[in-house]
Amino acid sequence: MLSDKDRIFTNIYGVHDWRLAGARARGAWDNTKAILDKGVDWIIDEMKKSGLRGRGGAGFPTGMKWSFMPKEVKDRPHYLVVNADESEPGTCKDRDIMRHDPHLLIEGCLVAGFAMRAHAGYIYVRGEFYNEAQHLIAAIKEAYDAGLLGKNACGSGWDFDLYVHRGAGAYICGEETALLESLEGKKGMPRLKPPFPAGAGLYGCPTTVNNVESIAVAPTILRRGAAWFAGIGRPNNTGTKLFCISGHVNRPCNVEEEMGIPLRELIERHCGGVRGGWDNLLAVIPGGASVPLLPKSICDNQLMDFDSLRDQKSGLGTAAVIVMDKSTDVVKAIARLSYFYKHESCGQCTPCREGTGWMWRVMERMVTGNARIEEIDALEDVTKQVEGHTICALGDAAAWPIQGLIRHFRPEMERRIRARTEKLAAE
Amino acid sequence: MPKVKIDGVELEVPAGITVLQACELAGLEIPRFCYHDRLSIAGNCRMCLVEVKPGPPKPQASCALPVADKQEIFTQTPTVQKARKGVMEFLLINHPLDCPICDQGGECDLQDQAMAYGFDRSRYHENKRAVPDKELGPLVKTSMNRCIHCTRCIRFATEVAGVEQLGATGRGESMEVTTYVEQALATELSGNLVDLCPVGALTSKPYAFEARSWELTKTESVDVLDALGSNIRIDTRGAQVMRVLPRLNDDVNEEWISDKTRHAIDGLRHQRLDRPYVRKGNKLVEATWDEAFGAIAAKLNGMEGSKIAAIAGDQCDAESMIALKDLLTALGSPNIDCRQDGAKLDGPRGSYIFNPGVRGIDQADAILLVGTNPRAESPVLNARIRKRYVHGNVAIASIGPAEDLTYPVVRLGAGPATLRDLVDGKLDFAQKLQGAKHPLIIVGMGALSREDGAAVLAMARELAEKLNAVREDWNGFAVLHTAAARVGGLDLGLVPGEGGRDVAGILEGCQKKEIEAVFLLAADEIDTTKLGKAFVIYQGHHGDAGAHRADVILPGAAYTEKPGIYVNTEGRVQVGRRAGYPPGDAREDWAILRALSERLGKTLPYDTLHQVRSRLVAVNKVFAAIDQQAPAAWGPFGKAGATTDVPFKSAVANFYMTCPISRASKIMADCMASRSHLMAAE
Amino acid sequence: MIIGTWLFTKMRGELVGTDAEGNRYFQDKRVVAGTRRKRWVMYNGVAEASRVPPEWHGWLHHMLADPPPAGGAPRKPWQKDHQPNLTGTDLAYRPPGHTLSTGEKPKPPYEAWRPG
Repeated sequence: MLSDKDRIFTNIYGVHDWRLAGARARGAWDNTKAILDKGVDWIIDEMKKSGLRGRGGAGFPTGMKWSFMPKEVKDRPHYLVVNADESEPGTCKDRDIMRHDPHLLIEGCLVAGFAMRAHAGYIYVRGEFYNEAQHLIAAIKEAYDAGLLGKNACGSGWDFDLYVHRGAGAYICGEETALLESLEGKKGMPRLKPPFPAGAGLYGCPTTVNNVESIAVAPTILRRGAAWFAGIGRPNNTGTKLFCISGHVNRPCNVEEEMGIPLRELIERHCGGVRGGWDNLLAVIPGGASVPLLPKSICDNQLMDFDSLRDQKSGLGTAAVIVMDKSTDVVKAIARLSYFYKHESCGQCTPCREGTGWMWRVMERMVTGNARIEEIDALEDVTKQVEGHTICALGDAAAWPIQGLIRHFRPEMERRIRARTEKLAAE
Repeated sequence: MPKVKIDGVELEVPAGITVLQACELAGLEIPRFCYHDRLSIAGNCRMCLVEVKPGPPKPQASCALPVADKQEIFTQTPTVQKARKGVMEFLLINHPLDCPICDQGGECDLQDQAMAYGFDRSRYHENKRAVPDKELGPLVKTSMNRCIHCTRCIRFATEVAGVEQLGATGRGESMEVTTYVEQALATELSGNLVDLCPVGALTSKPYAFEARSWELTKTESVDVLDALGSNIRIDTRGAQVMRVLPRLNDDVNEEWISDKTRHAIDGLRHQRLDRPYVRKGNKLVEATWDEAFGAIAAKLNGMEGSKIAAIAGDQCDAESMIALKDLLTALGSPNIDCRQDGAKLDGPRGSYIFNPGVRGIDQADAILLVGTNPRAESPVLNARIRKRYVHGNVAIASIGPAEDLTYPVVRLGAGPATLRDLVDGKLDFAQKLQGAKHPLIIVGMGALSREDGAAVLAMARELAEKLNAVREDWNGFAVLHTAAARVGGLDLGLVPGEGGRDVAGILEGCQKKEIEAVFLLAADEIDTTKLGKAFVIYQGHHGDAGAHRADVILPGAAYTEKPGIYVNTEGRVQVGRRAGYPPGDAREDWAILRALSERLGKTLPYDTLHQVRSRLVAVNKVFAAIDQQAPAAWGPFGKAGATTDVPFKSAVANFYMTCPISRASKIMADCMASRSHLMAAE
Repeated sequence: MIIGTWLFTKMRGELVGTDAEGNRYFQDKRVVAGTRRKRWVMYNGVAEASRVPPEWHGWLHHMLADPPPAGGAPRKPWQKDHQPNLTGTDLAYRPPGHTLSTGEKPKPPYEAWRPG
């Protein structure tokens, strides 16, 4: 249980003023110059020590990512790009940060940009987030007016410009290299890696792409010290995290909590418990649409962090907890996710382009049981053929929910197939 | 050089290549669809997956992965095989099973690889995707259901052809390769899309349902429709040329050919001369060879040599040209010319060839085009210049027609005056040329086939020498010809001898009745109305301008129907091979001249092709060095003099119709109509 | 007719049927468990394999278990009569353009120029 003094996002519910004055009152922009004065190496070192792992889903250590940028700026400028294309179903944490605490993000951009020797940063905001983008733009203007951004930002001697770019609403543009393509004005299709963005990213220049939350927590970490952040949570899964709980709970909400909080505690303390009580729980998708679901038996004692969820062959992802009670048609739910991935596949590489459509169509038949038992194995085989063979992670994301379903709910799928066969035989 | 281990075999490979290329060096075949040697890397088909150590625990796309030292590559592990099988299955679920009615059948990458890496049945029970077909002009037929989205066509169009008209719309399954606004591609290289397409989505429209690849006899030959001498493969069935495909030659055409090279071949089936004719009264009457020779002998026997003249055409092989020259010499005539357009070229070899060679373009760092539109005169060479441009750090300028060359060109001016200014260093571009390590000056026929051509040539030489572009390791003076026979003709000395007349002189002589007999060896690009009352012998393969005016017609062979040596614009001697026989009574050209010489009592001293070729080498040693491009002699040439203000024009006004073959081609006419439609739309 | 086959037919042959041309079809009298019974034909005239009609061909090659019924297999109105291989005879098929074929010669694959 996170105590209030350890919260980073103190205005996540928007009850206070989101503008500069309010943000300052909550501690943002407090002597940012002092942080910058400590130097690039210190910042990166602190970030590494804090153990902050990327909040965008993959969980890559943020400090290490920053350290991959070239040590000095040569003929090509460095760029910071913030990924605010939050489109993972069930996830709405970045949205609330941009709405209610934009200055945390902006300050984070300055610090991160300084740490990676970038003079320019881009925030790629999801197209549907119109109001959020307006808040962000207003907040950036305030920051410019207050001398916190622009030439000699915060009096630190570092020039830093920040731009907001609105996407057009494609899920794939949340993939870092597709985001860069989109930012360059091209079709949002992931690039091949290597080269990684730190070597050749935006316009071929060294670039780091970070999630909104990873950037927004950085100034607070640096102000309060890496040790404070590292002291929260479990080893290798440190700090606080915004959880977005939706689905069949009594009070769906966003909440900042300690990493590694038990799932049951998270739901019961903050969301008023599962609709109809814990025993009415069927399954939980712990990290946004792209991770395998967990049945109740696992949920009983599950800790919410990267490593413990990985041990259950699932993942923390964006920490978007989707709760499903016993009234849920779980096969249909996953079929709907399959449709989402089929719809959002960019079409560049073969396994994902062809595989997502195939998986969705088979899933649709599984919903009604219009299939043969062997087809469940075939479906699982198809997901394995997609997984790991694609350019970006969308193929994996499309495969995992189905794999999770087959792993935990195969009897239910078989029951439907048998029921339909018997019904047809009877007619 | 990094050392890698491929399937347990250690190998040292050049740095900077990809894993796929390294595997090829090791002699292993990696299946692929999207990867192509001459296009950028897309990495989207996922067929070339291999396992690499050290690396992530999943298979990697070998086409996009650079080799690293101490890398271990596995191409045959179960993971790799399973991945290939999986990708193959995905490609096939939405690919129609219409191989029996697909033109790509038998030469389809997907078919071949499905045999090698696929599975023999499908687990896919859903409906297949259906995609509307696209209209890409008169040469490319589409069947988009078959598309596997490898994007080779898109990359070719954008990178090589330089037309950003093809692209992909839609996302995921609904992704479609299209022009968006439905229209023909405005490029002279569109036929190459068909070669690039690994499946039957893009096939050749004129060749649709004509033949199967295994029925065809393949002959490796050389193209004569422009002066580049692209290396081609002629596919014939029986006597018919079914199609022309490019052959790989990095020094000349890489692996592209122009649409004219590829599709003008239907002209070989129309308007053919298949029997001799003799004019009786006012009419051309069918005749036997004997009668035709008899008519010529009756006219020429006893005629003074100076009253006889000969003009060699633009597509003649070296063999027939030397026979013509030897015959004229035997008849005592110095009036012979191979420059129908009147180009003022007759200096040392260095003055009339593309000295740096096509490969030299890759090295050039400043390019000046003088009186040429390479896009119309030689699209493949133009693509090479574009390749150089894409590579970066090159300045390209042009004096002459303002045309879209698919790459940015600074237009300095239109006529000889601008060239003069450049020689005098008055223009900014002069500095760029001066600073260049490998300056390249491409002079086109548009600048040389004019009254003041010799003066322009002299200026171009002056510029080249001033820039120090002619030196031991680099000769940046390049002449871009438009006629495939021209360099060969000049090499063999088919220019007026002592006191002889050139083309203009011959025509003038005809009108003044000083020339009484003219021999046209497939020469159709002259103004035949100026031949006056002269006795015209036309030897050629098409009933074009020359045949209409002729008094005696001797049916010869087109380039696909005879073995022949051609010298391309860079002075490279190339051998064309016979893919079929000439129609009807038509014969190989040198043999006709040999037979005629006997009737005229001046028997030429060769009876076999081998002897003719020995004669070629005796006349000029370059004919002994097949397929080689060598530095050529340099010396004073051109004639300084006054120039006019007339702007340079391109020598090729209409790319699609430049010779008897392309003029007889219906497909070229369609292309022209489609292109003018496009222009009108703009 | 080869003496050996004739002798073999006398000793081991069991007549199964006769086709329209008078070719007689035999099978081995003996039945050995685990083996197929040998089937063969004695031609009425020249020994020419293509004279065997399809229904008997099927039986001979063990594609059909039973021989065709006595009056021949049931026939559809569109079925043509069986014809032996005519290669080498006067009736052999010759494609158009063949040296020996009669009738119209195919057009040359090119269109010739004619003076106007």
